[in-house]
Amino acid sequence: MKFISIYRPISIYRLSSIIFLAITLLSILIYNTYIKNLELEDNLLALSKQASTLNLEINQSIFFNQFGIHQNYDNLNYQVFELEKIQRKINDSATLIQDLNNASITHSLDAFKSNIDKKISLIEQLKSHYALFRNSAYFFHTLSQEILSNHLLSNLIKTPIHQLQRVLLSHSYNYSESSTQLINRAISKLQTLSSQISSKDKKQLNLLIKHVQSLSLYGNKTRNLVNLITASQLSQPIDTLERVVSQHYMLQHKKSLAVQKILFLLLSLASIYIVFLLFNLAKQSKKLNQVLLDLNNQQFALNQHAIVSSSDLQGNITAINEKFCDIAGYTKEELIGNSHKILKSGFHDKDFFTSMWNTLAQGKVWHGEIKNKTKQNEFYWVSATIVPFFHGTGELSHYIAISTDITLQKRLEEQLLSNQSFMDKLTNSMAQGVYAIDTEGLCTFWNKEAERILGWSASELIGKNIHNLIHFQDTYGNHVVSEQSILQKSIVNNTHYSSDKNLLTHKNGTDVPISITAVPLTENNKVIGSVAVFSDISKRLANEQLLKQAIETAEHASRAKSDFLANMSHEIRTPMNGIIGMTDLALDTSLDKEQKEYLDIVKSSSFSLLNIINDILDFSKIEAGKLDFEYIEFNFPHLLSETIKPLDIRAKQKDLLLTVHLPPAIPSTLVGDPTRLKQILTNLLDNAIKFTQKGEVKLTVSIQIAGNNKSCLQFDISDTGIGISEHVQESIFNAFSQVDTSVSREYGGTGLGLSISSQLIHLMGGEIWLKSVQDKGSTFSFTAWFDFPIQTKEIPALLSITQTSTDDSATNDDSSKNLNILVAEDNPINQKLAFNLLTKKGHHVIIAANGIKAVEQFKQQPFDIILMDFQMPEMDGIEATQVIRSIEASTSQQQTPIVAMTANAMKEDKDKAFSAGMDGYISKPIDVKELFNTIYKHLNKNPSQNVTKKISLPLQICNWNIALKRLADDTELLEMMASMFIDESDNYLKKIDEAVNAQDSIRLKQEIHTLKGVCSTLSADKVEQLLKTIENVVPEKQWTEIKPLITTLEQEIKILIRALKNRLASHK
Amino acid sequence: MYFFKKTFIFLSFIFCSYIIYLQINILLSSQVENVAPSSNYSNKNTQAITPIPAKQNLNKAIVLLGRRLFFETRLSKNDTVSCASCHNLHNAGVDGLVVSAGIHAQVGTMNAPTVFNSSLNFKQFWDGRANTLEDQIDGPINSPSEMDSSWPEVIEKLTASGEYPALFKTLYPKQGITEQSIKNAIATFERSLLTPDSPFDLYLKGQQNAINKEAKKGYQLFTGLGCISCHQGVNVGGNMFGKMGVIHDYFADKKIITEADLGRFNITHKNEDKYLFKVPGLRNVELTAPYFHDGQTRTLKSAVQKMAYYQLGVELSEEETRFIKAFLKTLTAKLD
Repeated sequence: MKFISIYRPISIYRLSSIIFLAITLLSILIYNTYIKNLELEDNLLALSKQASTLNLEINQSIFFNQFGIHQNYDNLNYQVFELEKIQRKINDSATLIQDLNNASITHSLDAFKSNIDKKISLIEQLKSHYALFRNSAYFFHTLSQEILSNHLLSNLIKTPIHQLQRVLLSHSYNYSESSTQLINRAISKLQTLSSQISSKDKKQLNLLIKHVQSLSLYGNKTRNLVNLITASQLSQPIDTLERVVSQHYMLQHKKSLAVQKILFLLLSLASIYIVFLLFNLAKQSKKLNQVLLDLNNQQFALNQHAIVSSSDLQGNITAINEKFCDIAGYTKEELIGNSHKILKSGFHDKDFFTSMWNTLAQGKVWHGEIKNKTKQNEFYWVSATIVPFFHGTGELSHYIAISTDITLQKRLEEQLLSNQSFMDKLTNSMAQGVYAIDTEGLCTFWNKEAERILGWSASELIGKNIHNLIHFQDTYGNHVVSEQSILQKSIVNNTHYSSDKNLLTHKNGTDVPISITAVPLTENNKVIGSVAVFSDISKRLANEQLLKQAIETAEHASRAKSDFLANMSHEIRTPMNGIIGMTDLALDTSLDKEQKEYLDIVKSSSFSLLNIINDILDFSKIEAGKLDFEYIEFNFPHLLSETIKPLDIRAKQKDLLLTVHLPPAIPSTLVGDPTRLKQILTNLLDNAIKFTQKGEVKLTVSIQIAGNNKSCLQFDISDTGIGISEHVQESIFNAFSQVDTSVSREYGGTGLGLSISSQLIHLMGGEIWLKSVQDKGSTFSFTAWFDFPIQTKEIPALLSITQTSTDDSATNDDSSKNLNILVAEDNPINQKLAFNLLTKKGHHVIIAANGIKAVEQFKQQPFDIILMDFQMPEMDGIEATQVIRSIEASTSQQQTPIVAMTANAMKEDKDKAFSAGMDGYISKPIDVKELFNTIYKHLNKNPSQNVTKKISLPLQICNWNIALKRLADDTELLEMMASMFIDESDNYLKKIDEAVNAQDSIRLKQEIHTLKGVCSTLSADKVEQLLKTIENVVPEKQWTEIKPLITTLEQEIKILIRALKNRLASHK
Repeated sequence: MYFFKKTFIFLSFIFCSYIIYLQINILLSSQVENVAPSSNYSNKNTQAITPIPAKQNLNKAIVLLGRRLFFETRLSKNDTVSCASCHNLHNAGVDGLVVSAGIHAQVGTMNAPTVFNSSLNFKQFWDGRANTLEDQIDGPINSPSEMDSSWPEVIEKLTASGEYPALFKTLYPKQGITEQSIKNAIATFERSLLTPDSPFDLYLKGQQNAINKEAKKGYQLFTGLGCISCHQGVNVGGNMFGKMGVIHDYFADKKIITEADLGRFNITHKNEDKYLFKVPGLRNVELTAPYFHDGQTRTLKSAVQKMAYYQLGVELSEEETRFIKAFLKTLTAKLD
């Protein structure tokens, strides 16, 4: 229907925009026809003329001055000033004229200016010179009169003076070349005569000659200057300027003419366009006729196909085609003039027609299916389209209805509908939800049960893509794309799918767990959709959930119990500490026999209780998974001897023989957890001794698997005791089980020991088993893995069991009396205990109730050693240690040994203590021996013990020999490292400074770490220690504390560099 | 398509607006306010010395504003120095010092000339480096040893002040406080500082008894010796450059020679301009000691004698000196 668009009127918008554009274009062109800057150009020319006039006036003034007509320079100055002003104006207007900044104008302006400048400069010279000339002239007049009036002078002298007067006056001081000769002659005559006169007269005469010479000199100069000034031409650059401006004007004029031509051309073009438009209009009207013809033909074709009728606004038929008559059974004459009601079948209700008439009355097209009745009372269906038509005024004029016969179609539809209703009844009575989708994913079916389960009614869903409404997530809430739903899968793969774990979403947004089966729907062997049958399983799931929760609650309660026990550690140990310590103190006082016996019982009972508690705590820690293992080097024979010693005493009490067999092939130094190994061995040996009345208890160690850097050792503990019956053997490693409940009554114990040992062994990667014959004895065996230290050391000779540790002798060494000790402890019992224990030994003790007080005490006086509780109010032991260490670093003091006292038996606490800068560690309850051992171990004045690892030697600036050893005696390499450090140290410090200033703790830590690595290579212990201290303070971000440390660091590094330089120099 | 049409029309509209804007701009640019620089004194009288005209055509309000600015210390960096600091209006427009003291008590290089009748000078400064009084103001404002300020600074201070914005708004409605308007106001005030009706002016106008016999003799000497060839015009000098030391070398006799002694040469760098200075006007000369560009001459008598010696080669007698002095004193007008 393309041709129709030609008759669409040009929109107002488009028309106005075209007009607007045309006006714009025209205005631009007309604007260009004007000659711009005309005023400026006129102005410029007028100024040029003024300049010329003024130039002439100046020349005139100069003559006036020269001939004495003007006796002052004021007027000349004024004219010069005016000339300069005009020159400036010319310059300003020339630059204002657009497009005129070309070279020639600039050149002529410059020439004009420089000519004026030159002229003014000459005038200034002239003024000065002419003033001098006049000065001399006035004075010559006065002086010559004075000389001539002197009667003492001869006429010989007066004659040339008269001559000079004549020459100079007759020419009004403006003399020519010829008069110059006369003057010169008179002067030379005077000069020859001057020798004959008195000195006073001579002086006067010489002054006269001088001024005459001055007259001559400046007369000439003035004349030349006047010639130069009057000859200087200003007109030439002015002419050039005028010419350039005129040229510019002509150019503008030309341009405007050209634009006028363009305007004319445009007008011609516009006329041609109008003619073209008219021609086009004629052509279009011809086309219109053709269209009308086509329209008639189309109408004819329509009549052949459709039932067409025309009616007035009241529904009275005005025209019908033959097809109408055929189907209705009426003749044309019978129908025309009648109402459409004649065909009314009575099938449709009143509303149907009311809505139809309403639609039409609004001028809208109505579509619909109508059941009509023929003249023969038969019914027929038509699909009708009724179109309203309008008068030119916009009022409705008539309707045209175009209908097609759909009677057959309708009949088929009715049949289909009854089938459908049967199906619906069937599915709606099902107890399961049913829905179906087509291959596009659009819902085609939705039964009543589905509606009940999911809240959506069929009418809401049919024809919609329901996947994203009801079936978009799996049971975990993850989004499921449409392709992954089991309905789509069944369509794609043409098979059944079932799932018990599926989730549909209720209309109100809640999730409904369902079990679902999807079956592909086929027609003519082609899949046309999928049917899903589902049922709500939320009740079932809710039951399952309840069960799960019950289990979880039970597990949680069990874990909570273990946690509770593990955390009881501190609480139980603290009072135990009091009991044992105080008993120790009481035993040291003078007691009678009975009292001592009672207290011994108290003490041994306390230790028993402590053992039991330790067992329970260990067990609960294992349960809670809070047990950590150490991984350190230890002396194996030494460990064995330490383990055996207390047990040996008990064995001897029972007359049992306790032996240890240790083959020499086992390395003396192993790496692993000595404490746990000792615990296991003690437990097993203790049991063996406990259950053996007669005979021997034997510990045999052997290598089960030998590796290069690790090996598996087997420990066999055999006894000749009561043995264990077979049925008990099975459960003996379980918790809370003893051989017999009667056993516990007879032998005591918690029954946890074996269980703990067994679990420890398992946790360490080993195994435990036992062989036992009732009444003959038992052998408990276990294996454990140990690493070898990296550097193999010499294996010391086998230790004899009875060998006493060197530690003990240290304890008894009282050489270190009168120590000054600071005890930081918050618990009053422990305070008292520590105070009494230590003062008894003659030491001076100060108690601090918390970290802050400890630091205060530390600041006030030096201490030999500090005992620091871990957990304290206000400031804990870790923090206090860090503060003390930083104070020491900033004041360059030697470090005071700090020993942690704690009931926290966890390994991470130990690590924390060492990383905070603590030197040692005693666990609570305090063991007196351990306490003093540790104290003496950490005191410098105590002669060093071979067991001590943590001796605080005074730190060295740089331990060259150790560093050398570390680098395998490569002196060259170490020297290179040292000189590199010297060169780079500034850079290191700069980076650290930057990090501190930026308060960037991560960067600072990195920098410190790097520097620490270098220092450790150089064995620069002092700096390294300081860096460690800083490193510890960094995470707390106490920037105010870090700054003084950094200053100390800088000083220390300076000292280190000096030391390194000395070292390097001595090597060269 | 629709979008393109719309864009095109929009662009053409902008283009038209631009053309209209250009037109308006051209119209406006021709209306830019042009404060005329001071014109020099136009003297139609051709006599050697001419009397100062009694009447002037100056905007009295601007003169008052200029007077205020003349006493304004905010023109200097630290608000301590004003124009009046060196040009004391109660002391004949000079400070009586050899060289003046500027900001932070720094001293200048030449003797400060009087501000009275300065508008009658053809150029300003001893070396004539400023053509107008307006141009002259740049000197002290920017000189580090005088006011040590700058125009932006001065404008900022005055704009921030309580009184000036309103005054300028009234008197310079289009400009407000600008470098040009400040200069114009001060220069206009300075133009008002003329000293007409001195006894000698009255004598020139025909009052024979306005000056005594000695002065008349002095005037005769002034003319006869040739002094008048340089010291002429309405300001009795101040309209040309003259060499210091024509017959005898002034600078050879001087103990210390400074760069300032080169005079006009410092501006033009021409050899012939060495030792050239603007010939000072002699009006009120009695009151403007010390004398000459270097301020080294303390008394008028000495100045007269030095001039005669160096410029003419004459050693004046005591009597002649007295006569000339008497004449020069008649150039002193009533100052207020």
